Amino acid sequence: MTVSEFQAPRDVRLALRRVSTSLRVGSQLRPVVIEIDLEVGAGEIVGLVGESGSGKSMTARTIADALPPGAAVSGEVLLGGENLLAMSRRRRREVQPSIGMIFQDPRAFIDPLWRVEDHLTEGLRVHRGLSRGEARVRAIELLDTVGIDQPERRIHQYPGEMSGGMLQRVMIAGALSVEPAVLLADEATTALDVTTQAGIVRLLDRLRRERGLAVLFITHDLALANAICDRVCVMYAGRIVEVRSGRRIFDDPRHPYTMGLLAARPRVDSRSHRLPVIHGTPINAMDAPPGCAFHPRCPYVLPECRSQPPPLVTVDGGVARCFRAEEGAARLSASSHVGPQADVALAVSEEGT
Amino acid sequence: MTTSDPTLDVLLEPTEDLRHRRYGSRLLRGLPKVVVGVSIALLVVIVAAAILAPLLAPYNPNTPDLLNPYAGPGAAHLFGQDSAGRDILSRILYGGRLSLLGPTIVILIAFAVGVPLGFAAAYSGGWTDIGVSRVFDLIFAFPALLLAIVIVATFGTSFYSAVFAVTVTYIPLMGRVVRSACLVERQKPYVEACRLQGYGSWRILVLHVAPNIGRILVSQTTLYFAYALLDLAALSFLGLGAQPPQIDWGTMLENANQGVFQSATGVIFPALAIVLLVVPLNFVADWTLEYNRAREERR
Repeated sequence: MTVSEFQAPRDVRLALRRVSTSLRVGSQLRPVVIEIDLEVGAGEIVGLVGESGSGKSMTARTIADALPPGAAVSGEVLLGGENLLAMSRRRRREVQPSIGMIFQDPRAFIDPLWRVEDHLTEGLRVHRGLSRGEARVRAIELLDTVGIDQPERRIHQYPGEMSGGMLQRVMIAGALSVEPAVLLADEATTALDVTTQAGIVRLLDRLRRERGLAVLFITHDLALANAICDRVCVMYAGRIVEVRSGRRIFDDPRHPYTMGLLAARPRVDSRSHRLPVIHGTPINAMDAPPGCAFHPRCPYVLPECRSQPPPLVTVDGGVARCFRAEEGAARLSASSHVGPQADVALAVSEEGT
Repeated sequence: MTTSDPTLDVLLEPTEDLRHRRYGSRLLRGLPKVVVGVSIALLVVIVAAAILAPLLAPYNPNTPDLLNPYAGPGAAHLFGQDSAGRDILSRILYGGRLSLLGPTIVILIAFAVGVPLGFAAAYSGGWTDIGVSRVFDLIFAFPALLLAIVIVATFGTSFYSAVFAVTVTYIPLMGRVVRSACLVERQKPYVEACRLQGYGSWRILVLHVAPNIGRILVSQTTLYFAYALLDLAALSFLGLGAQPPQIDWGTMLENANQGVFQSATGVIFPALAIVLLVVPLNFVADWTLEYNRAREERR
């Protein structure tokens, strides 16, 4: 059983097969993404969740061909069945518009000197050969689609005249202008306030239902991912450690790292003054120890975790890369050295004591 | 500061301070609008006066009045007369034409040659960058004035060989500014976003990077115009620029220099003309920088 076998949705838009990416640092190659399997189908939102340095952004950049110079990629990135990594440069350039990408900070990613109209119509004019007038009509429709009022007026504005949330919508409209097969959303809602964030999330949800857009939603917010994604992939140290569909990642996490992420969220229903933490610091793929990359921080560690890479275990509605994946949080905490008296799922510490 | 809470004031203060420190001195940042207004007005007046010299000049600038050399300012000759009794006001008005034409040509050519070279160096990198940058270094390594003297000596003394000489030293200046600005700009996220949209690098360079660099170029070009004017005046002062009967402010200075103890007006007025052009140019250059920075901060 591999991750992708489990995933197998109907109309697969984007598939990653054992994709590994290394970045060149000085004279050596540092792995940042290790043997990732991933599938996103039409109309699906797949979440990619992890801390900084876990490799989630680098996964998106591998797909979009936006890696820094000297990077090495292996495996297969299939877009509609075609392997992006094995294409001629010319063909690769041709399919580039099929991959839309949106980012955390729209202000930095939109040319400040270009009016909204020019920004939105550029792709249509370059890739679709539309005239200025035709492209303008489309641009107004796009703005309307992404929920911007008075698009006829907004279209004449400069990025500097718009708010962050509105610009994020403009960036999405720009990415959608050439009708990409997949949309990579790299922390696209992270910089926005909660209300705006909700608006953008609703927009993405509507777009995937109405247009069958395939969305890879990258975030560090597990709760947010859980709320909108059909499936959530949790990354740690360059690997996917758990994939679960529906709300299962939230209700019944099977990898200790996922449990830690959930426990470390601030909660309104808890009286605890201090948040539980995951002991230790997150590591990147380069520094991963032998065995399970998470074992130095894992409260439920077994001897074999230190020596062998854990298998991919099929669990209810997904897979988890852990020797103890079948046990579940309740049984794990009962058996751990932390003891049954621990009131949180994972090894928690009263920080500062 | 409108807050009444003193702790808030303390919290807000340092950021204001840091802004000043980061973006240059208080003096520059607070460049009063009056200074900018007066500077622009002065520049307009001087340029207009030079263009309209034939209408404004009370005398023929080259007609000698040998009976009244070194005459001081008076009703007939507002700025006095020079060693050959020529009217200094008329000569300044006419001299302004070459004094302004010179740097204009220098900047136009240096811009036309230096900007593409800078873009090419930054954008293609590799050997193109190394080649272009080393040639720039080579030109920089010579003292500019010495290089200009060599060029003038080779091609003979004339206004145009002086202009050519100064142009040669300004091409690498322009090129280097463009190269470094371009290197910074192409790292910016929006350029990456354009690449991800699949736009060609030529399109990105011309339509996205170049306009964004334009803001820096405007102020730099204004500044270099002032410098080129000074350099050309220096060459003329050394007798390597405009030759009689051509007049520019540098040659007037050189001419009056010999009789400075008979009459200082011949030195003072051309020098004043240069100062009144160069100083406002500097203010305007600073102001354009500041204006763009303020726009950027508001984003």
